[in-house]
Amino acid sequence: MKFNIIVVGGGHAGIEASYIASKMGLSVLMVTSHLDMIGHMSCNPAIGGIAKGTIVREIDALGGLMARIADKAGIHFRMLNKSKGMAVWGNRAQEDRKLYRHYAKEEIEKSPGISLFQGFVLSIKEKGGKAKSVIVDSGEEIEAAAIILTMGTFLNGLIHIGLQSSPSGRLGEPPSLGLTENIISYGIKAGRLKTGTSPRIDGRTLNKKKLQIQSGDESPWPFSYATEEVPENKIECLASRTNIKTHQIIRENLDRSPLYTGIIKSTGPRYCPSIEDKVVRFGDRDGHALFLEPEGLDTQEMYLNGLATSLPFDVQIKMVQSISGLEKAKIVRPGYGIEYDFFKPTQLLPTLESKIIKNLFFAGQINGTSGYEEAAGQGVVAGINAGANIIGQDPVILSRDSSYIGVLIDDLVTKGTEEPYRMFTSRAEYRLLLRQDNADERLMPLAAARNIVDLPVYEKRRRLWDEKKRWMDKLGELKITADMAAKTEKDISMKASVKGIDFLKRPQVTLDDILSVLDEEIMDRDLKARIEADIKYSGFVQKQIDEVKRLKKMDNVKIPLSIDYSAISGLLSASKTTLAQVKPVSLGQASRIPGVTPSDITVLMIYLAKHVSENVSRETV
Amino acid sequence: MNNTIIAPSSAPGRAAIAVIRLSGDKTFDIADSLIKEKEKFRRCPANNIRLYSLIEPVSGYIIDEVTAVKYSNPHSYTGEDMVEIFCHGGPVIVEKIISAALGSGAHYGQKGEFTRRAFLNGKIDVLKAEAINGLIDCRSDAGHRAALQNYLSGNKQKLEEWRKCAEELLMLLESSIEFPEEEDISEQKTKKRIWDILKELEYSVKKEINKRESIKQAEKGLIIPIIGPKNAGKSTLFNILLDSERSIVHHQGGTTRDFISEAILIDGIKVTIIDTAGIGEAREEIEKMGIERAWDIIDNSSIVIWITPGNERFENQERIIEEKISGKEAVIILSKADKGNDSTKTDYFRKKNKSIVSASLIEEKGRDNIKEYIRSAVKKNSEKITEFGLIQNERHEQIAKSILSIIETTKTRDNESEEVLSYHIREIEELIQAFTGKITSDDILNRIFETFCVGK
Repeated sequence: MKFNIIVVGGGHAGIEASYIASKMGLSVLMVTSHLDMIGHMSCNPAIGGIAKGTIVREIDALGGLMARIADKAGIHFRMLNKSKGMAVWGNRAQEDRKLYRHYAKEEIEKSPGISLFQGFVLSIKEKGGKAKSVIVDSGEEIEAAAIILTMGTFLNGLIHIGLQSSPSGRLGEPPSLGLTENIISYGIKAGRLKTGTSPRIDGRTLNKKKLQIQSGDESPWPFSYATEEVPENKIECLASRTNIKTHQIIRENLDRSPLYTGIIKSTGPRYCPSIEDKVVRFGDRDGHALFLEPEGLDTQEMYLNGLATSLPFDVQIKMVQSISGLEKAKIVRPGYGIEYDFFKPTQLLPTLESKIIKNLFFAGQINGTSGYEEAAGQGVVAGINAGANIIGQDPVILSRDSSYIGVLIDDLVTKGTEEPYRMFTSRAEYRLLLRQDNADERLMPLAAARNIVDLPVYEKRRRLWDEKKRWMDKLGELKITADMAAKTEKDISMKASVKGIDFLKRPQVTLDDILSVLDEEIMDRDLKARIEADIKYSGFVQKQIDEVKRLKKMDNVKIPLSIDYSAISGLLSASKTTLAQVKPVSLGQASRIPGVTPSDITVLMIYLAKHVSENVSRETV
Repeated sequence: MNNTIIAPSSAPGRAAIAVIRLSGDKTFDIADSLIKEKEKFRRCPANNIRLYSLIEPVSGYIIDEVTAVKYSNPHSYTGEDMVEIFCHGGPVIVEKIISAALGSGAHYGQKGEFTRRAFLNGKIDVLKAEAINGLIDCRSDAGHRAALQNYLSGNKQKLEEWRKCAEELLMLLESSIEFPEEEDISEQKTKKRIWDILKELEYSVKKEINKRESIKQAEKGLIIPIIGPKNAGKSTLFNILLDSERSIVHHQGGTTRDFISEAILIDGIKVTIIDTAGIGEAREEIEKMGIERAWDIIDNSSIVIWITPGNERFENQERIIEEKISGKEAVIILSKADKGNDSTKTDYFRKKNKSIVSASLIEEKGRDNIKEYIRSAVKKNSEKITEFGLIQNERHEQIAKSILSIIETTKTRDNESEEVLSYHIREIEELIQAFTGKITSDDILNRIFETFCVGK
């Protein structure tokens, strides 16, 4: 058997990598430990959120799957941060877990060129520094031109419930053993991380009268640019909170917590702490918010978000039943902590290809990230670049000003991570450029050039961009007089008339104000929001674009991987070590490595100019 | 990687001694080629001075007899191998030594090149480099003390304070953006805290700008007006202080109708003495203008010399002087001591607890007394400037003013959404970082080094 690409893993990274490679016309083998679990959501049943929702739209603009599946399997939609500016809006949807898997597998099975195989990959083989094949547990050696590793939390996965631990990839699924050791044998360094998940409750055992109802948006927004119809809210979420009694139960049982008895040593995510952590670290608090999220339309199971824990099952029951509205609640699946292996992502090129073994790609949680969206974003990039290597195309390196996915990958390969990495809008220095609404304008042209985005969708978006431009020109020429301004009934003092664009830049003015004065209407809310956001942010955006241009020069100065930093006099000795470890591909990347100083960069710049001639470009990606 | 550079380090022109510096990998080879006593130079340990004859390498002709110091990397100003040559200070000698070195493979050092290398080799940071410039450029005692303090210890504490403010602001804003659903994060409380911190930061930045202003004043030197009624002896005193006959002295009052100024040095401090129009009833328009000018000058100076005849009563308008000079250092002189003494004037000053000097300007002893008195007033005034700020130069001042202007515009837009506020705070943060050179662009670096003279 021989394939173009083997994708190891069928999670959110694996399905995107396989799907995009198949769109590039390549033959793909997806090897997964459980064919029924393709696209499974291991943690909470929601897609998106602030920054994460933007990643989902970026995946869509690049031709990926996640947005379309999330729209189809979504049962409750909310646009977060609507009280703030559009640059920080984030769409989030509760998903029907089963439906999500159903649509994910359906898409994979529909894709030409994707073959499926259930099994564990035990090891990978290389030849002459290039990925060659995988050995599966049934004994076969399967060859491919490129291999993409997306094993999630399965590598030496160890689940903790109280002081008991069991080797598992996910609750009820066996882990992947031996593969980490095999990969380490090639000189690739690994580390260990921890994450946790919450108990699931039987919805029939809740006292709903005592719980608050959390409804979805009145008029939800879809994730995908391809989704025509407004998604529908089919369920409601519920809310409650922990109390002093809950906290007391937790405190009394800390001696049975693997986190507080030293059994779990690896680092967990600070932004998603277990309830034990919350109680210990914020001891003065009398309660913490909890959300009950339905797992799907045809199940009574509910996910108790906010109560991630690795305490023993009997303590979990006591904890849950101390909460208002959950007095008689039954836990159907306990919460658990999981430790797993990851590979230090600074060993990767910005294409997600290993610097050590060519045509070997790493994507998703094995790179130290957390979250379905982060994993899927990497899957798309790994898929495109594995494909590009085979076809002989230029690699796709998403820059920090192009996308959150670009920020994510640049952070990973430049700085590495000490805890499960989650995306935040504040990680993006060009946040005002990277809005959730304009992912199509940012990324679709790139995807269209490689034929990985659906043409009708792309054509439709282009019409919207043209229409937007027409309106922006119109508003640029439009004169708003003091009389017109008065008609908006906004408290605005104006001496002379101003351009429509400048009028709209005032914080209190909306595009609707101007449209009503003009007695015009824009039916497409996407278009309306886009025009408004583009104008509102235009002043800041121009400054950011100027800065991007300035910094691009640094990114364009390539550094050969073979450079000997120890031979460069003038570099601080600590910086020599760091640079030799990370092996940045450009001066721009070098400048973003923590600890590398501006004077190091100046020295490096002079050195490169003097000692590295034209052959540089051939040595680097 | 580096060329070896040479440049004069002392000011151009004739002097007893001139200093020339060499720095770079080939420094010792090049110095070797210029020195006649090669063995002596080679055996001389680092940081030691020796006497040598410098020759033109090709002809072997002696250029000069010099002393020179060897420095081995990294223990030198630039962090590279260096040689400092002290030759006789004739421009032709300096030129000959430099061209001989150029012939041996040295390159002529660009403006600020030595300091740039010190920076690149991690010997100094940007603030230090600027403090060196401050030391060389200072024009007053206060300026010197400020520059020295910056050179020796830097002034990072204030920066740290500002950085913390920016950090706290970003923390508040970002948390409200990233975690809108958390109950711990209340938009209302966040906004209030943000305005409080902004105010705090604004106050601190303003204070630094004000400190800079007072140092700038000191750099400009002191302005000391001589004030008093007509015919009190202002112009006589002016000329005495200048030791010249520059001002037109006439026995009739009202001669100095506008004003005349001249700069002198008192204990190394530049002092501009201004001979003002006599205070009193003005008979002509032009005289009236002169008196107006005199009042303005008094407002803008921190020391005044008030001279008034000791043998006469106060003029009507003279009492206004009293108000105008409150809070300023005043030298009160009762002139014409040879002509007698009006007790009402002496009593008046005694009651106000003002020390006065009574002197006759035509007697030498009186003149010396007055000079001594002014000297101590100047000294007292310069000691008042004890607080040295973070802001050392125009670049720093521009940065501080930009921070201030961002804060001011931000304050006027209280319904701005969080991500835009955060954008502005990030601008402030970057400005703060620019102080320390952490994220400074090459353009700024280039500009900093352009302000350095060659060879510093």
